[in-house]
Amino acid sequence: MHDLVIIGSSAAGLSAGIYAARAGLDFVIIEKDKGGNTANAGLVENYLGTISKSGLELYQDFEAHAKQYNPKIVSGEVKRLSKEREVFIVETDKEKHESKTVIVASGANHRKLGIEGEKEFENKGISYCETCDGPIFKNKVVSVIGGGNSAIKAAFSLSKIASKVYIINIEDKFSAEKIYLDKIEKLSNIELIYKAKTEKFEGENFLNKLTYEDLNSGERRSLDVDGAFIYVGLVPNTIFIDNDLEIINENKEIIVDKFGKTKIEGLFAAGDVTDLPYRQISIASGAGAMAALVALEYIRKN
Amino acid sequence: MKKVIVYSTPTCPYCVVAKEFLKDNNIEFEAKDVAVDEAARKEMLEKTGQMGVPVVDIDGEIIIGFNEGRIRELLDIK
Repeated sequence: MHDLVIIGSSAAGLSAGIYAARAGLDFVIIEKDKGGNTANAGLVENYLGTISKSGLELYQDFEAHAKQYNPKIVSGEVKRLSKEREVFIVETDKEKHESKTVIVASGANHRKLGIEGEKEFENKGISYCETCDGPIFKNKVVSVIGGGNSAIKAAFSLSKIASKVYIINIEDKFSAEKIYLDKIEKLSNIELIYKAKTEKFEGENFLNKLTYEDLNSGERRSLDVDGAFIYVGLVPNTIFIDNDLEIINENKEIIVDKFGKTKIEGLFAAGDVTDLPYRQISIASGAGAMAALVALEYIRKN
Repeated sequence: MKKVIVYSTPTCPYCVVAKEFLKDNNIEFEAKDVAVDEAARKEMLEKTGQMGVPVVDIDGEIIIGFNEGRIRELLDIK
């Protein structure tokens, strides 16, 4: 039986892993999506000590740092997390781990709009990852749907690739940081559309049209677009957590206290998967360290 | 030896992961950057009917995304 199983291997999971390794715990890290949201973050300029670096490079630094301690990292998708008597059982698609404690750091995935044509045109014009697919839209007309940092960063990168970028925001203002908004304000090939609810994607083999409702007038308007990048928030990866544990809220987030403790003894969570606000790499790595330290204290006492 | 082509963009994390996986297993491959190489982009669209990267072509068998299991299977990597 392990002292600790860490589910997830991005900012929160690897940070927890470093603390666990330094404390001499017997632990394993389960990795599904290499790099998580850190690797997809585009250019990161608000992580302390890193003036400007791509999310992918930052993740590679995290990984190289963690690997200094030779942690056991196994690849697999967790299918079920449950607790039987005092033992946690973590079942993946490949194997089963038993542990005294668990830190869930499984992150969150992009939220879908859930509208007509979205599924049909995924990877046929619709993307959730500008760093992955953006370069394919050279000299094309694209749209970004959303109003937060991820949306504005994607639009900024796309403005250098595409001929025209529409940003479609359902709200009447953007929630992105001012530094990003200032950057896009000066760009002539970006057009901002406010109070617009995206309703439908259409095309033949590939996307070529998007329709939205103007929430001020109630009118439907269409745009000819080759691409649509959807950044409308994240859904935590908690599907594998046993319902009986009752630690998930209505937003599918794991409910934790300020230490990253859930109400189940020995079960902790950190990073984008939790109900704490602000999904930031710096916050996730801090939360991973905190969770590892409370897990360590719990192991020592029990 | 099987002919392996990887279609990718420079910034896509899974493209990097896929290429590193092949290198770690000593598999030779041709890397095509669809961000700059227009012919490669067209070729990828024709082969797959979609734009997501990475695409791995192993002797004509097309894998969309980084699917480690499928790559191992087709290249007989233990």
